[in-house]
Amino acid sequence: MAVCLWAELKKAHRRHDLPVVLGIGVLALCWANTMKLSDPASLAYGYSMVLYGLSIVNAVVMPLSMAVLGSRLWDVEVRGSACKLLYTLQSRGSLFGAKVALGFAEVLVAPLMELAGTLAFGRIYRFTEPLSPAALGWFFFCTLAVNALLFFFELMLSLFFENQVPALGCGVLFSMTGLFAMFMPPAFTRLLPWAYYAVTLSVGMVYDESTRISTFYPIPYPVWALAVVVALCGLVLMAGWRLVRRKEV
Amino acid sequence: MQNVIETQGLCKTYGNHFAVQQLDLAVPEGCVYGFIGPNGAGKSTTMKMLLGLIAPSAGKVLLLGKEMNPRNRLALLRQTGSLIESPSGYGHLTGQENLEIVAGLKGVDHREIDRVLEVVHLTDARHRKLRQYSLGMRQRLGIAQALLGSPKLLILDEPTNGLDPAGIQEMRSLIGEMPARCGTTVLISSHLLGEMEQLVQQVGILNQGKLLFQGPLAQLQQHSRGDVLLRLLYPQRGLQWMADNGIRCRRENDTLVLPPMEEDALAQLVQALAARGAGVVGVATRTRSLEEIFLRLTEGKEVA
Repeated sequence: MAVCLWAELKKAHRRHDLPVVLGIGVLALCWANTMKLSDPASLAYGYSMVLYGLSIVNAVVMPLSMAVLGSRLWDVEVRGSACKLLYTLQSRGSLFGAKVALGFAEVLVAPLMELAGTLAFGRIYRFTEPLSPAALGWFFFCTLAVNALLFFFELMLSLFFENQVPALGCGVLFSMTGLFAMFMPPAFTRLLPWAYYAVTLSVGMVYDESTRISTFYPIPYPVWALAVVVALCGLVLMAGWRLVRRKEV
Repeated sequence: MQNVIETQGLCKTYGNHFAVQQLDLAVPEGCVYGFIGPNGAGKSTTMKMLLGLIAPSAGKVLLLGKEMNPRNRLALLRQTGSLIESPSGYGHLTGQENLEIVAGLKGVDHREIDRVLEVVHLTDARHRKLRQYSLGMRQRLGIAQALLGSPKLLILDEPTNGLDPAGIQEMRSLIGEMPARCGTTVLISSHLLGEMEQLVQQVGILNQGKLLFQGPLAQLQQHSRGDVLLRLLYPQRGLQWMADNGIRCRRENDTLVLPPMEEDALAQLVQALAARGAGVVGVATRTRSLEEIFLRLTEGKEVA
């Protein structure tokens, strides 16, 4: 497994993986920064506003970003006709495990950047809302879990179709529907795994049309939603592994 | 001589279609074995089964004297190099980097890379990205990947596909010298029969998943005698004598063309024609090329 991970890192050389994953985080933070964070009326619930805003941004940005990461990771093997050689050198389990490990590391970057960005926004704009480490931690784990779910799903699509268009197409579709799903009935939203950036939110919002002011309030952590995402992650991973194990090359 | 590859009753079916049927392959150590067949004959499927890339529907594969199973597969393949269909490689990496990845995964010392690059004459191009390589260079890099770790067995599926004549010649000499230079047994598939004839010592002919012939090339050629050509000063006299004695032949200018025959019978025939005054000035046996033999076999005709 270690040697396969080393090989994955070698393959990532000149594939510009790091700029891509950093770019995803920067894009999400820049978008979140367009909210009126410095508005004096916002400072009292600054952190809640950032977490809520980032969840909306993630619903748009992350599905396509995860599709790009997932398909790039497998596309390199398809383009290089490499599977028939790799499968004679190492076990399929080790090769798949290394892909999953590298992919997970790449997926981890954006939530970490968002975590750091949220803290940075608090310092820069001097939020008066007390920082809740639990809410931040919850946001981080939920974002990571949904990102990982989408990434593994896109990786599985790439494995199944070899052509990267279905994976990228799904990424575009999920990104477009992810945003709208946030404003649809909760029962419907819960059926869409890529909308779980919203379902796992621990912050609620009320918009007063007369004053045009949004207020944010904490809601109980939807643990069941995180459990659903983690379970789906496991299922998708198992399906991907089954594909790799059984696919004839 | 030990067999480096042996298959027993190897089958692969897709639905009701037999891609490979009851294949008993035997590749002796230290030879270049030509695996010949038309497109779709089952050559690539067989080679993939030898490498464990696809699972056989029935039968056994023995590599290097051991029956291959999921537990020992990788250990056996570490002593094997392969190039299946098209060379593998990452276009955004250099030739050297591609070899480093394969060497690492194969558990081979990276110093081996210099040696294999030299063998395939790619030392000067080692730092160029793979996407800048020509097809011939990619094929040679594929061979270099296969050669890492000095494998006892090389399995090469149509390695000259897409190469120009110079590339084919180069690849042929590279592969041909493997047994002597590296002690490697080579199993090579191709449908370019002329190329095989100049390269292999052993041959297996596959058609529609069935092995039609297997053995030394010389044996195949020996059993595949061609027509006898008799050049005569007076062909009309010879033709008349043939007709009188009920011997089938045809005339091509000053030459009579007879079907293949035993050497004793040929000697008697020449003597009789000379006595008749036909003026025998030349006797030649037309050797069937491997291509002709192959066509006769795959058309279901017996080899004469």
